[in-house]
Amino acid sequence: MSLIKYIIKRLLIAVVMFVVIMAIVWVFIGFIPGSPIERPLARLTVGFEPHEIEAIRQQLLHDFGLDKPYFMQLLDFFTGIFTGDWGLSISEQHFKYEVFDLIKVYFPRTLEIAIIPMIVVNLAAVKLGKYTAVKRGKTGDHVFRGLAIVLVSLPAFWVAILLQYAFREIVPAVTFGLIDLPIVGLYSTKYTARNVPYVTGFRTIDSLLANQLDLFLDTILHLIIPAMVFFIAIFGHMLRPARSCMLDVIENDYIRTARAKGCSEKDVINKHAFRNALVPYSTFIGFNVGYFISGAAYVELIFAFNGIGKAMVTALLNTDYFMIRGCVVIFCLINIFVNLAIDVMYAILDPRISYG
Amino acid sequence: MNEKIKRTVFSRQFWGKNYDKMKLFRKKQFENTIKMEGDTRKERFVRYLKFFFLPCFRASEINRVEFEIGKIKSKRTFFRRFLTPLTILGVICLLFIFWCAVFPNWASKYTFEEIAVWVNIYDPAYDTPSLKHPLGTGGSAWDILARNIWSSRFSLQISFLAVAIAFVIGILLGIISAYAGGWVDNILMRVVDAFVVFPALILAFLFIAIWGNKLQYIMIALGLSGIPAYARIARASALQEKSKLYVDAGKAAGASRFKIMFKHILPNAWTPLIVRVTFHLAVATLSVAGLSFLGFAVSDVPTWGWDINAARSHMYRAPWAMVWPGVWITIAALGFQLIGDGLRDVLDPKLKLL
Amino acid sequence: MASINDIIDNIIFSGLIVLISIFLSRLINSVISSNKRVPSRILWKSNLIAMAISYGIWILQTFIFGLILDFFVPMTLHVILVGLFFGVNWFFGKKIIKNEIKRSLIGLEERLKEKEKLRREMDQKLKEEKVLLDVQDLITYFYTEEGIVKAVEGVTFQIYEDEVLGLVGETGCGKSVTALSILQLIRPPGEIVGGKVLFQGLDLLKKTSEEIQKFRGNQITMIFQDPLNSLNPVMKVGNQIIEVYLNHKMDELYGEAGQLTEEIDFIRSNLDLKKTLINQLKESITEIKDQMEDTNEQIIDKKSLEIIQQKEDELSVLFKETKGLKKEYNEVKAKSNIFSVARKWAAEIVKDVGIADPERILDRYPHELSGGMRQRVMIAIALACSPKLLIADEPTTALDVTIQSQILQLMKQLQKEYKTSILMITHDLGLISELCDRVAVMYSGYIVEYGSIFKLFKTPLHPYTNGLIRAIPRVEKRVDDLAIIPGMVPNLIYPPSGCRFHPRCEYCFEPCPTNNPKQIETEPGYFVACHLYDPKYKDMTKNAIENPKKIKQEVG
Repeated sequence: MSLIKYIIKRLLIAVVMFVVIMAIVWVFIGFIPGSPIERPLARLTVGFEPHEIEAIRQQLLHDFGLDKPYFMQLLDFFTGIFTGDWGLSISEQHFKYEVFDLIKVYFPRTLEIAIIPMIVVNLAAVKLGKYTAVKRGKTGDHVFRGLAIVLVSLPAFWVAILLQYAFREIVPAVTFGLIDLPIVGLYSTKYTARNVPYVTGFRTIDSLLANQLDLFLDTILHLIIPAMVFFIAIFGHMLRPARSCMLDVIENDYIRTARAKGCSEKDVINKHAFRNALVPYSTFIGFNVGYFISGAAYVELIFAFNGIGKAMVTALLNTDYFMIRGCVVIFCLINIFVNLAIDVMYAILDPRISYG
Repeated sequence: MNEKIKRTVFSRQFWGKNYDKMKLFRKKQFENTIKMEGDTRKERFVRYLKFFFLPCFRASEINRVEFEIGKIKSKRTFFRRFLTPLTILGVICLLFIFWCAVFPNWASKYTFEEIAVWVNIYDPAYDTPSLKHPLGTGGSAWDILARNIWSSRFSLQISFLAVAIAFVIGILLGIISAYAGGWVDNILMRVVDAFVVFPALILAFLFIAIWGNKLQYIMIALGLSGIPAYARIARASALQEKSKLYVDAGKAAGASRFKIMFKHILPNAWTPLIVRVTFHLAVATLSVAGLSFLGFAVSDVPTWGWDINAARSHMYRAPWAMVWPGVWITIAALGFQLIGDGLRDVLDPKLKLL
Repeated sequence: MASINDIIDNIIFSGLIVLISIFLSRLINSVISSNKRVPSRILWKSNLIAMAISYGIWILQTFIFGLILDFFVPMTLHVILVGLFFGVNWFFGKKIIKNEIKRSLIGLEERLKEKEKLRREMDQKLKEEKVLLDVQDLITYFYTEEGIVKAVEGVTFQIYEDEVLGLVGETGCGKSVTALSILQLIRPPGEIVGGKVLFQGLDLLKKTSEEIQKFRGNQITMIFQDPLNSLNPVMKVGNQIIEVYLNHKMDELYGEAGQLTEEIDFIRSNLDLKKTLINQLKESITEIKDQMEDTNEQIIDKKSLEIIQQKEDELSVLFKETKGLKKEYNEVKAKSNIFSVARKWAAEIVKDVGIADPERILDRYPHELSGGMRQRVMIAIALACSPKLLIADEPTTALDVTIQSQILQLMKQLQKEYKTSILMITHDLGLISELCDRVAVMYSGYIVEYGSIFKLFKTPLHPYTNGLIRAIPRVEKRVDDLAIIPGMVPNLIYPPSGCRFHPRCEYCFEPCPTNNPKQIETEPGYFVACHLYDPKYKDMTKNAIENPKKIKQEVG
């Protein structure tokens, strides 16, 4: 079927793009000044003799794979991306841990905040977009536009801190202690001792699979406010495309034909206009996903989740060569993957796209 | 029009027996469109001014031709439609921020050294608002109001330069790839797609890791990550314009490719780009604040983001220290956004009838 | 004994799962194809019942197992809860749907009879009065930033049944706006300011938007100029035609689908009969076999073997028949769905419109068809419910000349077949001469000449019509200059005072710049809006006609 051929073609293009981008990343990482092992060397060899320092230096070079020729290192990098060997971290806390393992643990914590709000934001923006198309030019429309503008102008991290403060001080006082949501961390202190086996990295799903319901509910409680903040941060960015795509479609002639056929306004908007507006709207999602994930990194930093944001900042402070590289790789991967998915969805939705 | 062409196209040889008719026709054309009855240049200028500024001015002797010209120029209607209440709010916000950024010496009581370099040992840090410090004091007992005013200068600088980089490079890539077509188009679009993959945070992250914690790298990173939007918009608009007839006419008249691209196509495609610039300015301001919140490049300049971070731990004691920088960021972003919205309403013909 | 906290945690968690399942069921319902979709109200009802039952069972289970046995179901087995929920949903959904169908079928006969009666009354009235559409003094303005565009200023005409009326005029004279005003398709900033549009006695302009939806597509339909942009690009063409039937002919669809239920019942009773026969035969075979075993004789009883063989033959024949019946049953069941009935009707009308192989076309998208086929599809959508009036807004302007003539032939043939009146809007006089019986000429928002087409072409009375017909170049003559109407179309925001044509009129005389001309009946059934034919100004007209003015050709 030509749809499958189209998907395979897009997949191949995505893979080629990925390879090219990885090459760019490699070149740029190579520009980082200094050798990656300077800091651990200095740390480990305090007060040693020069020949011992030399021995440890050779040992470290061998451990981190830096004594191989340049081309071999490049090959190792490329093959390592697909096999999971992204290098070893040199930070003090996680010395010689696999970067892949670290990211495997850190990244899902950030994603946990991000996934459900991203889905809900799209649904809400689409619903509001349909509403604008009906109430065009009236008060509802102006409120909508004002809301979109204000939401985009507010800095997300600032709102996060304010909400943290509000939910800590004001809301319990106002609701007489009913709504007392936690605002810091991923789990309360009473669960620090419990270790949940790692299956997906998402604490919610893992605690379910390990049959620990109280941990699950506790995690959900901790996730509510960060998810809310993330939702507010993203919502403004999707409101405006929803409205403009919907309005673009309403101008068209086939809406006039649909009305002339006797469809009710509700049918005209939901069946005819919406399906056509969905096609250009989906391109905005793919375009913004990088921005959204970095927004999630900010939110997670403020709420102290120990996710990818914290990992990136620590890596930068320590000039953790391989960790920096790993973070860049994971972001690019996510971006390429989501763009590929959006392309495929675009092809499925719009029959005008010619396959092959 | 090229003199050589004029000489051939309007020559007696070319027109033969209809030469007189043609000359008469051109004279009448000129008279109808340019000259009015009994009009000196000064009178015309005064009438134009009146038409521009007075809301209901309509000279009684205005004929249909002048009405048509007025419609084309349409500047009065531009301002009338642009200055809706929301947009006026945006203009006020922007004027305020520009005033803070361009004339901070006049806006604030304190000099740059007093708020960024020296430590004030006379006043307590994180103090409540008082007469001497109308919004309170911050970490090194600097005046919050003054510090915010000075920070606006640097934030605005960075965001303007970042947007300028993205604008120039993006439009170049977009228009060239649309006009050239073929494999050039393909390759340039792949290059732009490569830029999509890197979000601003990651690029800034990378640049700072490589070249150190300086402000310029944030600017370059923000600029590079904003290129794809402009490239795509410029390319889409240029593709639409390319199939119109004036491009062929320009080619036939002998214009070079550069001229056609940037003197013919670009002025017709600049509407969505200008709107995007305002939006990007707002987003760049927010990104700069976010990046300085994380601690990138905060060594010597005061920035809003870093103030929020520093005041975060004193949240319970002195919340105003954290609130005011955020308010300033919001005012700046809001100003850009509202103006962008107003411009889009005026310039976009599809939303004209709203 | 488990603690209450654990039980409450479990209950909350199962509640979350049930909520997610409700959401999922709504999501699935909104994305599956229209045939299998369930209306929202029914879905809510069955969701609530399913939630009550499945969640209730689950809470009971949690309590019993938790309190007594201290055993909680592992997470993966919550799939049972989801399965239970969807199972109950499906079961109750089908039941509720059946009830709804039964309820809507109850009054079906009466409603169909009433509709028939109404239609017959309307037809009777039409035969007496003969006027189908009576437009009186229609005024439509557009309130734009630059001023009030007076697009239609006092248009009056009538359309009789089974005739074709042409509406001619230049671009920008208000023809499309008139047509859209009849169906109330004018969007803001446009507004229908005044006038009456009487369709079979009912004033269409006074109807609310819900009421007029019953007219659009049903009794008055419209086809537009550019068929590629007028058809929804993401919907299949067949679905767009079926939509018209679903909007207006629900009762008839149910009626025809219901006729098939008798057949279904008949086949089902046959099936049941056959099933009982099969069971009986099987029983008798097993009886005989048991008998044979019981007697335990080594002598093989030939007769009983024969009987068994006979019965097994009968059994195989019965099996074959049952299979055939089952297939027939499934086919008829599929056909008795209202969507299949609608699809059958759509195939019929697509065939009527002149497209060969309608079944394949119904599954195509608009961009996959050629221009002529798209316009035929639009005509099919318009004629689906056999309307009384078809408004054609420049249907052939966007097509090639050969396709134009095909579409014209088609429209002529369909007009005779369906006895529809057509309001044909165009700027091509040639088209008018082929298709129309009467014609109305519009200029800048009002009708200047209106009457039978022969008289118009033979002796055009209004100076504008005169100019139009003189401007048609003739093939046999050789001329140096083509005749034109000098001047330009007036600005609709600042129209000329009095008669809007007077700046370009050769015979412009005293009353023209000041008075608006009214429609004057020169012959029975023939109207002109010009002061030259007004009996009041008889003395001045002679002078004007003998001394026609020379109009300056304005440039630009």
